[in-house]
Amino acid sequence: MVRFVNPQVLEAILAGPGSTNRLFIFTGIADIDINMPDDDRLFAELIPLNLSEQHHIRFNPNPKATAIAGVALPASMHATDAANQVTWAVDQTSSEISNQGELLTKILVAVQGSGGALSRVAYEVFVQTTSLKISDISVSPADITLRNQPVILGISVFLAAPAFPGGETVALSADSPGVSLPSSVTIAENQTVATITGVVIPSPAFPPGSRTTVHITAQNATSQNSASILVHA
Amino acid sequence: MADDAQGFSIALDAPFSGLFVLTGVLPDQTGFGSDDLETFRAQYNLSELQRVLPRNLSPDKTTVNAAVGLSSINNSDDFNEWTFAVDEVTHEIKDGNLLLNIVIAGQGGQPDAVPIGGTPGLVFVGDVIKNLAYHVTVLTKP
Repeated sequence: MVRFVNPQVLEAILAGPGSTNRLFIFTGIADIDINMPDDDRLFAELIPLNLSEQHHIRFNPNPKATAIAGVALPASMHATDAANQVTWAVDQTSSEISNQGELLTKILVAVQGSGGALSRVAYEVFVQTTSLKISDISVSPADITLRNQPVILGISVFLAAPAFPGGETVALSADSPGVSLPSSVTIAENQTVATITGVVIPSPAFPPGSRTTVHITAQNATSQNSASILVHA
Repeated sequence: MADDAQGFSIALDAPFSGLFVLTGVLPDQTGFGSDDLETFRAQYNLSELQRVLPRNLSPDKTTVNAAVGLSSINNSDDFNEWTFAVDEVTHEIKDGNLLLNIVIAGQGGQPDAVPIGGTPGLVFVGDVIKNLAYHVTVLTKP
């Protein structure tokens, strides 16, 4: 389990020319805590960092909209005199945007040396992206009574301006496990709205006799917007 | 190891034209092979490694910030002293290309390592300092 130490993000507004409008710079230290056994074999491991989860920022996965450059370095190393060979390495760093809009950075590390450790790596990841403001999200129906049957929701996400070429992909989430949604919706090029469906499922999340407010949130790199529904069970 | 070039450009309004963000791991080049402190000057052509960078950079219209760090280091107990160092990073623009000059220093290494071009004391990497990682920012004017 990776632990982040002092993660930081800087967001710069880009005024153009061109459609790119944001530059994000993520820096920090990841505590990866790799400890070597009592032998000198070379050990390699791919360390995944979910920077979106850490900073609550989602990106448009469309490669026309988002570009990434990242680098990582060994930051905390340890060796013992029991080792005949020692190695500490970051051999490769790569990043991608998942279909859910998460910024995932993968760091390939290698360690060698009896009793040694590579405890921390430092990272710096740059993301330039095009992101339009989410002006509204609407969910219908907003007041639901569950009667042992799922209820279909119509969810519309609105942008403040028409989407750029390639479209604008927006992450979706609900704060109840009783609501099933696609993880994202894409507003097509030149469009300002996209509509999808979700489902409210009779489940322990809505015990009989309860009234539960569920928030449905749309999020991209520069904005987020929520709508709520009331579920009677 | 091959270079791990990643980069993108951002179009900027006047008085600038572009901002280039470049990162990566530099290819293997140098190493060391004795208990003496050895220094080596490595040069990399970033314009060749980074396709996003134009090949007609002008020294008068280009500002560069460069940072380089140790990415992969190794040593053995055949040596009494170990040193791993990036002592200096400078850049130059030559024939439109961005060249990164890096002074590294090391101590210790594999006694059976192969000399580069017969140069005494310098050996192929995989040894002491294998890889260097860089972050370079380039600001250009039209």
